[in-house]
Amino acid sequence: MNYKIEQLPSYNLHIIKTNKFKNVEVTICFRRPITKNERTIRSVLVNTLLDTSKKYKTGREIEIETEELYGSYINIYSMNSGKCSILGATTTFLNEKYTESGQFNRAIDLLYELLLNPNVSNNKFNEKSFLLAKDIVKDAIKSRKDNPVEYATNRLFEEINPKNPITFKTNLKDLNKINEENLYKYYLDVINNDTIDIFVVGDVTDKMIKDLKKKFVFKKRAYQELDHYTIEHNICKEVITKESLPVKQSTICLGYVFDELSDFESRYVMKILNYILGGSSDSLLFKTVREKESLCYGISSSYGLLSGGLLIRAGIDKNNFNKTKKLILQEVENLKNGQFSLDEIKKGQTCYENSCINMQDSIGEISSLYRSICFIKSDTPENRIKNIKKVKKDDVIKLANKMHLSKIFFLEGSIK
Amino acid sequence: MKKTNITHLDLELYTEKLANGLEIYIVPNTKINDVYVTYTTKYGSNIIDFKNNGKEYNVPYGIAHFLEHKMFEQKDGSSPFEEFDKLGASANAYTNNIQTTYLWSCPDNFEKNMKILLDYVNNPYFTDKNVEKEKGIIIEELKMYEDSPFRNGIQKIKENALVNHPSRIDVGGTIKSVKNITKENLYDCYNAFYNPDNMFIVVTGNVEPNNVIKIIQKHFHKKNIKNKIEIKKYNEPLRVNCKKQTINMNVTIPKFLMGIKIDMNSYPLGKKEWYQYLSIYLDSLIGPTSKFNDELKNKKIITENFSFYLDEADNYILITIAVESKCPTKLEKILKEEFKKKINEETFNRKKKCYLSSTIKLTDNIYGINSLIMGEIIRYNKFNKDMYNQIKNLNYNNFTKLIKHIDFNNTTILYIKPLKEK
Repeated sequence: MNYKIEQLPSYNLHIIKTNKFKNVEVTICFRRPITKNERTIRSVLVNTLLDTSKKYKTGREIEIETEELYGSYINIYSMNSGKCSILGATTTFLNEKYTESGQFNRAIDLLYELLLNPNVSNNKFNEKSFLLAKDIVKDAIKSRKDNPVEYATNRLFEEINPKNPITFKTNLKDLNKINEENLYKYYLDVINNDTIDIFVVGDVTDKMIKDLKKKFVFKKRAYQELDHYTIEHNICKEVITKESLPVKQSTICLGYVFDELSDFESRYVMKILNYILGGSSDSLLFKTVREKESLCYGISSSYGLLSGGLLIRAGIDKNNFNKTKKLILQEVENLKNGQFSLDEIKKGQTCYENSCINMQDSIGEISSLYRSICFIKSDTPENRIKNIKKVKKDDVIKLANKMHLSKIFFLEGSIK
Repeated sequence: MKKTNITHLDLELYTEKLANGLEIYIVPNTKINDVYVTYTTKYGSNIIDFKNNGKEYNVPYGIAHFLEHKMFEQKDGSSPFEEFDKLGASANAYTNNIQTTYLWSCPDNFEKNMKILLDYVNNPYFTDKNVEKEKGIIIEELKMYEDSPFRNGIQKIKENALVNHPSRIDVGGTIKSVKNITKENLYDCYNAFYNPDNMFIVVTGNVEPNNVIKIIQKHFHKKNIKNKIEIKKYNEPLRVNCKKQTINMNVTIPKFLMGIKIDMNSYPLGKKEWYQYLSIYLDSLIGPTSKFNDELKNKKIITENFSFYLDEADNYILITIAVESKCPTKLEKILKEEFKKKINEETFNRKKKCYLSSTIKLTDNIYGINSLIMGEIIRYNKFNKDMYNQIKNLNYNNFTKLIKHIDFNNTTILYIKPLKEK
C-alpha cells in the first residue's frame, strides 16, 4: 500500500494505491465547524443532490447510470463529527480490469454531475427534487422515536449538555425556513468555502489521477486545519431522567464524563478501559449483567473520542431497572478498584492490535482510516500498535478514577 | 484435496472430505491479513419434528437458536469467548431457518483458534441450571426483535403466508416455547444434527490449504454417529393462512408488507434459477430504477425504496415486499396491477450485468466469499465454480416464461399502523 498526499490549490488529494481489491473508492469531504441551524439545511442539501442533476434529472436516472457502471455505489451524506460537520460524497465501483475500459472516468463523471452540476435554474434548485428532499427530512424528524435505542441514546446526550454540537439535529423549525433559493446559496457557500479533501483508494493509474484532478477543480482557498474535538466535562446534579415509549423492551443508558485527559489516555488507555468494562463478549458488564444475572441480551459500553464521553447501554425488562443499574454501578466501582486481571489488559491489547491489522483488509476501512488520520490526527495503524502495548494496569485504574457518572436515561417500554 | 479455479473471479477453491464425513472448503487470499472461519451444521429453526433411528421427536420452537446460545457453555466453566479474546480473535454464532453457524476471524494463531472452535462446538455441556439461566437472555432478545417494525412485519408475513411449515414461527421461537425448552431437548437435537457428515467448515483468507487440512484433522476428534434422520414433511398447502392483517406498533409512518406464496413446481427450473430470475424480476419491477418506484415516490405514496426478500419453505418460495407508505391501501391496489406488466429485454440485461458485478464484488472480501460458499452448500449442496458463466447464461426467454407461470394473486397483506390509528 502506497500513500501520497498532494496539496492542490483548493483541496488536498490523498492517494492510497493498493492492488488488494477489485473495487476502487473515491470520497470527497467538505468540512466546516457546525452551527446548530446548519444541521437541517445540510440534510436537505444532500437529499436534493442525490435526487437530481443537470444531466440526470431524476433519482431513477441516477440509479440507472449506477447500474450501467456495473452496479457502482454512490452516496452523498451529511454527518456530525464532533464540532464539525462533514458533507461527504463517495462512490465505489469495480476496477476496469473486471469491467471495461473507461469505467473510472465514467464513475467519477457521475460523482461530478451529482456534486458539481446540480439541477439549478434562476439560482434555485429544481422544485420537485427540493420538495421531495424536504419531505424525507421531515419524515425522519417525525419518526425520531421509532428507534427506541437510538432515541434513548440521543436523549441521554441532550440531558448531559444540549449545547454540545454532537446533539445538534435536524428540526422542523429550521426546515420551514429552507427554500430552493436559500438552499442553493448555502450549496455555493459549501462548495466555495468548506475545507475539501479527496481520498482515492484502489488499483489506480497515474492517468486516472490526472483525469480526476482535471475534473474536480474548485475555487482556490487556504486549507483549514479544523478542530473536531468537543470534550464534555459537564456533570449533572439530577441524575436520572425517565421517559416512556409504547415498546416491549426498555433501554437503560448511563453517560460518563472524564476529568482532563492526556492524548495517550483518551486514545489508548481508554481503548483498554472500554474493552474491559463493556467492549467485548468477555467484559465485566457482559459477564455480570447478561451471563450471570440473565437481565439482558445486549449490553455494551462505548467511548466517543470526539465528545469525550463514555456510554453504557442495555436492553432490559422495565421491572429490572434498579437491579441492572446497581450491577452496572458496581462493575464501574470494580474497575476503579482495579478488580480485573493483567490478562484482561493483554486480551484488550491483542484485540486492538488485530483490529489495526484487519482495517487494512477492507477498502472502506482504509478510506476511513486515512480520513481519521487527516481529520482528527489519529495515529497510523503501526503507531497505534506500538502505543497500545504501553498501557499498564495502573493507567487503566487512574483513568477509571477520572470517570464520573453524569446522567442516567431510562426509556421505559410500556407494552407488556 | 481437490483444487478448482473459480472462473473469472481470480480465486482458487480447495475442497476435502474427511473420513468422518466433514467437508472442508478453503479459498486462500494472501493479499490480505485476516482469516475467517465458519463451522456450520445444516440444521436451523425449521426442524421441529423428526425421527432419529426410528424414535420420534417433537421439540419446542426456537431450539436450534437456543442450542447455539448454549454451545458456548463448557464443562470446566471456561468461556470460548474468553479463549478467543486471549488470541485477539472475534468470535460469534448465528442461527437461521436452515443453518447454525459458529465463526471466528483473526489474522494469526490459526491452529489455536481452530482448536477452540472445534473443542466447544464438538463438546456440549447442558445442565438444568445453565439452560434455565439462558431463558431470560433469549426472552430479552425476542422482545428486542418484536420492537423492530420491519423485522416483526417480515415474520408476521411468514406466519400469515404459511399454514403448517415451522418457518411461520420466529427463528428464536416464542416466549412460551423458549420457557419450555429442557436440557434433554438440547441433547436430542445436538446428537441428531451436530454430526460431522451434516456439517462443513469454510476457511477464507490468508491461509495455506494443506496446513488448514492438517490442523483440522489433528484437532477434529469427533466421530460420525450413524443416525438415520427423517425430517417431517408438513404438506404445506398453496393457499395462505391469512389474507390480510393490521397491527399497531410504535411507528410514525405506516408500513406496508406483501407476501406472495409461489409454488416452485409450477415451472420446471432449478431452485437457483428461480431465485435468480425472481430477484431480477422484482428489482426490475419495483427497484429504484423502475418507473413504478419513481411514480409512487412522486405521488408520495411511498417514502422510500421498496425492499424485498426471498424465503423458502418446502417447494414454495415466499416473496416479501416491504416499504414505508402513507397510503398503504392505495398501494396494495396499484402494486397488484403492476405485477401484470412485462419487463423488457434491455432492463433484464442491465440487471443481469449488476447481478454479475455484485458477485465479483462479494469476493473482494473474505467474509463475502465465505458466505457465498456457505449459501451454495446449504441451499444447493454444492459450490458452483462456474457461477460467473451460470449468471451470464441466464436468458430472457426463460425469464419471461417463468414469470408468466407465477400466480401473483396468492398474497397476504400486512399493514403496520401507528398505535393511535386503530
